[in-house]
Amino acid sequence: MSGSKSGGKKQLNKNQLFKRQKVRNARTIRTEALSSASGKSDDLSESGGMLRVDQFVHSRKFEIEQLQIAMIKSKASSSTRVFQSLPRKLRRRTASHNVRRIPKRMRNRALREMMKSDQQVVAKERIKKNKIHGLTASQLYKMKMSVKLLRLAGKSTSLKLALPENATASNCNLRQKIKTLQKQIKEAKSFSSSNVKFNNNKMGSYDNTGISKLAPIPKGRIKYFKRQRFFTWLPTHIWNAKRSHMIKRWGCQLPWSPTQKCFKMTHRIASYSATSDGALCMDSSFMGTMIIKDTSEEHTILQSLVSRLTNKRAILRKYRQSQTWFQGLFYSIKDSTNIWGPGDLFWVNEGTILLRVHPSIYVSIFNEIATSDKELLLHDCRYALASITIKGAKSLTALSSALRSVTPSASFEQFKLISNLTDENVLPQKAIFAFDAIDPRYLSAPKRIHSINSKKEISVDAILKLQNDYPQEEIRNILLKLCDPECREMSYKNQNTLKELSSRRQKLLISTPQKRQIQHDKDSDPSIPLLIAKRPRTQDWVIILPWFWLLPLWHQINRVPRVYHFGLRQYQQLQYEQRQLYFPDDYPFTNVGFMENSLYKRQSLKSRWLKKPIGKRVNYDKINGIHSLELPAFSGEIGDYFSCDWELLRILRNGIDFLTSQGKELKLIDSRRTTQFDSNDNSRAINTLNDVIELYKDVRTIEPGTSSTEELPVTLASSLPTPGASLHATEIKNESASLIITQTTLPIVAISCNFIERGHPHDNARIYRIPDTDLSYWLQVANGVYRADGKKDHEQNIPKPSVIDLIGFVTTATYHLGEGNGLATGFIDAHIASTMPLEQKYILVRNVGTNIYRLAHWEQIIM
Amino acid sequence: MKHSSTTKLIRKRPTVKTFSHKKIKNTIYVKSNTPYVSALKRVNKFLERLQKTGGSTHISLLGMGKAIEKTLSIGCHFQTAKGRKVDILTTSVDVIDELEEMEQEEEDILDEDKETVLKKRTISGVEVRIYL
Repeated sequence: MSGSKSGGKKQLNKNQLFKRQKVRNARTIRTEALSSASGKSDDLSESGGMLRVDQFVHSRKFEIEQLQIAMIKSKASSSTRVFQSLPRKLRRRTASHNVRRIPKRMRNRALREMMKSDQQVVAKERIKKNKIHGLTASQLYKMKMSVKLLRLAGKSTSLKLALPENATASNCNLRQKIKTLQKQIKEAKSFSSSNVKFNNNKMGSYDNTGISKLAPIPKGRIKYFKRQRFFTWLPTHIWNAKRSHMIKRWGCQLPWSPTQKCFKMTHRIASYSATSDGALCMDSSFMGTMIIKDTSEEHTILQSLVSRLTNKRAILRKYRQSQTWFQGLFYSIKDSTNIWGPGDLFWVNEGTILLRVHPSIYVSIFNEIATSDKELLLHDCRYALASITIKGAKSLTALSSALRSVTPSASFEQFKLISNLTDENVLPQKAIFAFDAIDPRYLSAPKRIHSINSKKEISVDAILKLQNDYPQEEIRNILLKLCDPECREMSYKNQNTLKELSSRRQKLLISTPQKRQIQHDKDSDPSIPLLIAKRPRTQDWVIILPWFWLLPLWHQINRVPRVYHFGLRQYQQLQYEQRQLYFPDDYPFTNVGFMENSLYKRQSLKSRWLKKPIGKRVNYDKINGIHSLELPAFSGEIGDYFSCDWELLRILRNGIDFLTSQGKELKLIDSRRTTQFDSNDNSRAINTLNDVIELYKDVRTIEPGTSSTEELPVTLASSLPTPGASLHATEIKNESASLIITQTTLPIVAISCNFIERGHPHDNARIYRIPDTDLSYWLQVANGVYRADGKKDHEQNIPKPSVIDLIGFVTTATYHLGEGNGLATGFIDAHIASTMPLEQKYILVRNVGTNIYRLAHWEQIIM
Repeated sequence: MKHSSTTKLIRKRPTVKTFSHKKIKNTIYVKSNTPYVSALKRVNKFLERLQKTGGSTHISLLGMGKAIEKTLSIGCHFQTAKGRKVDILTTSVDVIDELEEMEQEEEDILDEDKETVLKKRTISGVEVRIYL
């Protein structure tokens, strides 16, 4: 018996036979019989007779149709369960055992399939009452205590009580917390004590503004308080934590990137408005907001502060009088050469500004402003104002379908008018809307606004009118409400709980079955002051509103179809695709950016490299043929392998300046001598380029970032210096050569460069200038060198530059999907950038650890 | 509404586009720097997708100014080489120019920081409809 089984074919059971037959049937492709194709079969003989065109075409058409039918059938026969046909975005792992994860139209089929495979159907979550817990007495006691605490906290918020200090302090134990809460509830019920603090709503929302000091961490819910001791949560933290990878940085927990892959989707939706059919939104509440008020008549203190802060830019008429949103660099007030980083600034009125900066520099800027002038009123609104950043063609549509104005408002009418617009580039520079909105949860689902204009296309004249009919007074009033702590507190008055909302909705259903939107009651219902602004540089929309109103809006916006969320990683990608700098990665001339590059990213790259076995990782020391001439001072890759080595660039550029300034010819090596030391001060004598590299190696022994007082090796050149301007290294004569070289800072300019040939750059790639001797060769490459078969020739022996041609580093780079070639954002030496002629703005880019150079065309990024 | 010769043009703005999911799937904007073959491939891709969704009967190529010639030559390719039905419509498109405002206080400031006035300009454009 057993012998026959092993020798012959495997016996299939009935089910398997049926399935096999099904697949086989599906895959058979019919062909047209010759006799049916033509009346006389000899017309189309197999030996190659006459061909009749109509029959031939008909026959091929029949074959193609059959092939298509077979493909569809075969596809249908292989799928077994209904949820397999869902798009990737909507697939749920739990859909196989819980029908509620499957869209309603498919549920009946899913249920049938589950019955067929003898699966248990989950109908509703059962509440298991008498669960045997298997806990010891003390464990059970502990559990019950924590449940008790949560119950009490819930009770106290629904009694509109503010959480007492003791209940949220980290040094209190559980019993103390319970005791405090119990006492507070008792006092509140008996109205015996006046020292109980009340909220004005049942949600536990309150305004958390730090007046002239930093605001404390928001109280939030008592259950999660312990988890926010070191890193504060955003209002949407739980929502985001379920859907994104989170990172802990800069005192916040931030969404880094959605769990589902989204590189291409981000590019498609948010980069170009013409092809985008959705929107991307991010909870940008981690950006710290502060409000500065000047109560004096003339507001001169505030003006001078803004002037110093933004290097005289944000006090111009465009920003101050006409209220345009400002984005630009923020400078230190005390020392104008020190750049903090980028930020947003907005003039609410003549004496009030709203400032938004990155959390990594927020505290230092806040402290600097607080200590510089005591007369200014400084509000820290980090946890009082929240914001959403939204980008893409559908962003205005999505926003307008979740927001409704309380009172008739000119600004809201304007917003309604442009709500169908996909391309915000046509709007005037000042595109700002502010109005009192109703609670977004009053709409049962987001719904597009149907105004008179929604059917028609928006005309250009209507857009021109937007700028002329800007309702300045009205917007100012709303903004003042938004900037005032008491008004923010008032906006939470009678904020409805979900329970209240659903009971109101139930009542509405009984009285008027068609209407779904809860009517706003002017006297008791809350109204939210909010600001919607177009940002000029990043070209996205920012919505600023009180902290506890963010979550209701966020939930509604994310229910609009084709609106997705994104994280910091995608924000960085979008900045890159728009050829702009992303803070802090692309800001080596600021403290935070320099540390990010030379410490944080360097460490992580290095440890990843070290983890690999020696045979599997790039040996940077043994890379041949990088430069045209090898120096004895180093072999292989130059500089630090895992970061943009600004220290090397500074020493190299300053060293070359120093050597050439002495009027002699630049020598790479002195073959007759080894390195020397100066007889005067025991420092290294600088005679050749090799000595400069040796000097770099001396300095390099100190780990970067260990001394915080050290000046940054590079600064941002405000504008391109005129060619032939005096160089820094020659200015100081009385100091030793090595000191001049290592301590003069190097001015750099931000550039963005397009690859002309194939290949794509990586982060930390090296930028070289084209040596004068090879210029004609590279110009030829730029025009295209072709092989005999008409295709581009990529395999030529290229002339390599030498070490002295290194002029910069790439900070962010990859293949740009929109441009269709490699694109790199980086920085190069400002002096060399200024000497390049306009029509020949070419550079060479080489990735770390390779010896291949790619030609690229660069342009300056205006900061 | 003539502006004086000293007024500087800061930026030209794109055309006004409004949102419609269906339109996005069947409209291609041809730019003057769109490669010809890329445009052909794109049209083919759109035509394939139209068959799947079946939302509309044609795709439309929009081109204005310098890109008109390229748009028409793509239309010709599909008409002659591919034997498709092609319609050509001419339109005028309104666009907005951003001009520097005359009375500026400061002289040497970045273009970005200058206040501007918007001005309407009408140019001719072409719509090429390629049917399934």
